[in-house]
Amino acid sequence: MFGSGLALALFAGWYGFPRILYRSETQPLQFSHAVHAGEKAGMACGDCHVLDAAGRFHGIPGTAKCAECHSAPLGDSKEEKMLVDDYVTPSKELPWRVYSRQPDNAYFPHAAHVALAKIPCAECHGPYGQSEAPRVYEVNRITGYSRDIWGPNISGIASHPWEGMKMDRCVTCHATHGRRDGCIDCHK
Amino acid sequence: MPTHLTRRDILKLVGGSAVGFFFTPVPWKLLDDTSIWTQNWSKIPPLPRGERTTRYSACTLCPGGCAVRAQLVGPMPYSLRGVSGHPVSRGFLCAVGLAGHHMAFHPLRLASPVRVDGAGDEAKVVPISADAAMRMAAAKIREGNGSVALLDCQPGRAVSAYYEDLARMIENGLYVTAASREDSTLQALRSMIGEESAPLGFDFENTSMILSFGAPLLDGWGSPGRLERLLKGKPDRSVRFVQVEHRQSRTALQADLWVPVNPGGERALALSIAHVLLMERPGRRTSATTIADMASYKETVARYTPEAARAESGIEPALVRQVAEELSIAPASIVLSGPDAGGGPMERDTEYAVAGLNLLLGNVGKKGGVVFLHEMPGTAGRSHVVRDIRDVPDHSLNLLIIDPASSGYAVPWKSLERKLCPGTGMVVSLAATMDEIAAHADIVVPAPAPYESLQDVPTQTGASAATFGLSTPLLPADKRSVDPASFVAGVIRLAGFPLPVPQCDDLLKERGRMIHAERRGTIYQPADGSTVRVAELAQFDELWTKLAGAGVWVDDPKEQHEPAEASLGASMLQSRGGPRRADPGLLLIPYGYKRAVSGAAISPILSKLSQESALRPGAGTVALHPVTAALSGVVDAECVLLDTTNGTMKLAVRIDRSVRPGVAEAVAGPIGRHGADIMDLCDVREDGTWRMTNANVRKA
Repeated sequence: MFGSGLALALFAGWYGFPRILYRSETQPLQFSHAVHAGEKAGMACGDCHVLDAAGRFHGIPGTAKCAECHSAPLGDSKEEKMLVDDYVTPSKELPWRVYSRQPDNAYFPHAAHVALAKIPCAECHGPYGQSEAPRVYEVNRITGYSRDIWGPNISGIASHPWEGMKMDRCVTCHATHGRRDGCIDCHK
Repeated sequence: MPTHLTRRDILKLVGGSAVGFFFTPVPWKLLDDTSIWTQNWSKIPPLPRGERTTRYSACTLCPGGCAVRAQLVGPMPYSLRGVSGHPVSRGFLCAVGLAGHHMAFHPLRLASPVRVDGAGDEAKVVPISADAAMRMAAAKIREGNGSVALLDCQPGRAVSAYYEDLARMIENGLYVTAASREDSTLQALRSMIGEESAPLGFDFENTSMILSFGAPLLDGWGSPGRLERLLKGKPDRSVRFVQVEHRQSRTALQADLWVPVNPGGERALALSIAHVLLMERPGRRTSATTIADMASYKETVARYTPEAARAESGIEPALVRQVAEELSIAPASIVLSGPDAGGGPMERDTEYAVAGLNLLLGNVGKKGGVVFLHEMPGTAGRSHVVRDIRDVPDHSLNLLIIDPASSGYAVPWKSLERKLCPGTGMVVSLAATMDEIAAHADIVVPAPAPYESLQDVPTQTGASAATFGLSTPLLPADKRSVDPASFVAGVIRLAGFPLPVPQCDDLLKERGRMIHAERRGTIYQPADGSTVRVAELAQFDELWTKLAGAGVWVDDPKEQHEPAEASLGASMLQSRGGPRRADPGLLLIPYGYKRAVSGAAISPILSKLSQESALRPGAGTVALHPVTAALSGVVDAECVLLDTTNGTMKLAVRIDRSVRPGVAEAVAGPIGRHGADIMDLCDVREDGTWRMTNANVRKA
């Protein structure tokens, strides 16, 4: 019976717990990075995800950016019609769910990492630029943050560099590159 | 095989589960998530989400007009900072300005016009409409008893000229400014040289020596970035900077020489310096200006030998002669006085005594001295000598309307109250937040908060060239607030003076058109740091587009000439006999930090930076010299009662060796959100000053 209890707890903890902890949500639009960044549109990441002259990241682009090309539907897909009718025409922002959103008290400067350290986007965000559609957004019911912050593996063990965006990842990477930082470098 | 579960089996199952539980991520993940959950309680406001953009504007929290680079998420600004390379602010933005975008969300923000019935603790606040507020104010004008005054603490704006014109339309109408004016020396010089419409400035960049009587040059004076960049933290600076001040202020600490004058002894010191220049070192510095009242001036300063003035000024004669000698050999110099942000203005005769030194030294109309500026386009012939509230006779105002713009300096309620007709005088305060003056007003009308409306940024005090910029909105307009110019125009129209009600934008565009018509100067654009000559802009719309992008127009310098004739205000200097202070005992001296003298003017979130910092002692403390404290029988950090004839206040003692014995220094500003202000304890004298008040400290 001891073994059964042990097995039951391990099964519940490793298999059942993540399914209870995370709630799945869909993105407002099935946006294809592959279409935009691939040969069809041939756009670079920076065409929409603007880094200004000083390397500062300006966030997920607003609907105005989409409207530059999609002021009228390009094609007859349902998603295209939804983009134009529901967001571009009424100038309404898309309520994207951001996989990499950090707590407000954590300050992450893209300028220092992208412009200065020359770290490629995929190093932290993964091969997201090749996706056909946004992944299901899994939100932690307790914290309200994306599962991407902890990483897909409930054990917290990452199998790729872009898995997990917790503070230990920042600290480990900084230590690897010989950076010594104080609390207020990231926590304002 | 047994089919029934025994008690032992259940215990084993539970035991196995318990052991297994600790080999799952459940306890560790729940611990981590719970700690993050505590950061996301519903009462903690989250940052808005959306695209991040950068826009430019200018701070209007004080007349400094520092340029601002704002970062926004969607429509919401979340970060302000200075603009490096800006010709006016030179990248500077003070701690209060850094949080200027918080002010629209201040807990003391007014939501609707209110009428205050009764006084003191029994006062009742009744919401009224803006129209009702206008009608009540208009009725006061129609009564015809006493005068009507418009108080403008940021003169020089386009709306200021409009107020001035409105005040002229009304019989007994007055346009007045606050008593604490940074340009007091320039005001005095305008009167002395008889050119009231002459715009004047200080050529700090080309001067060799600055002698400042109390002006907080390194604590927010004028355009703060200008003097910070010129004087602060530069041991190899080419300018000799001497600060005359009764307390060891932050400016005094950073001066090359601090002259610790007795409180109220500045006039005697200025006259004793004049004595040395005229009587002991005549001809070292010559001026081409003919002084009309030189004979009577000499008669006055003859009495102020450094030895004779020592009792009043407290300064050793050798030091007086040293400063005078330095002034006389400096190729170019500037002598100025200025108010303290909390302690208020100096006496008018002191301002004249200080300003007159510039004429004696031939500083006026010279490079590196007091320089003439071109007229701001559209203001030709308009007098720059504007009376301040001190010049209004006591008990003469039936209606006082207060514009919401702040000078950054304290305005004690007592200094306004004594000007009102007893029992009938009405105060209408246009304010974004319920500040210390609004709390005493009869009617309070909510005004737009900073960054909610388009406003102009006029020439900063002492600038060596006229400037004009715009503070463009970063926040959507609050529909509950009322445009101050429209409100004042509405009141005057209801009082029977038909006039069109202007839009603030129209007033600003008119000034822009005048600048374009003059075709002088350059426009700097903060977005790319470029400059363009106005003469190269064919259409007004091109100029307006650049100004609307938070560009700033900087006028060309003017050719300088010394004034042909001037007066040194000898008759005013003769009027005072001996030292101002005669009473022995403890003296309460209030002081303050520009922009931080009112709790309603600071973002509450800035408390760590601006209200609790040991670098800036907060309101609620009184600083005493150890000897004074010992004589009063109090110790450091003890709670004491500070008594004056105006009341008693409980304060914490701070022992400070830099405080003069016999003096109690207290910083202006409310204690807590609704606490009392040290200004309430201060005497406002007949001359409109409140620098010194007799006081007593006792154990609480």
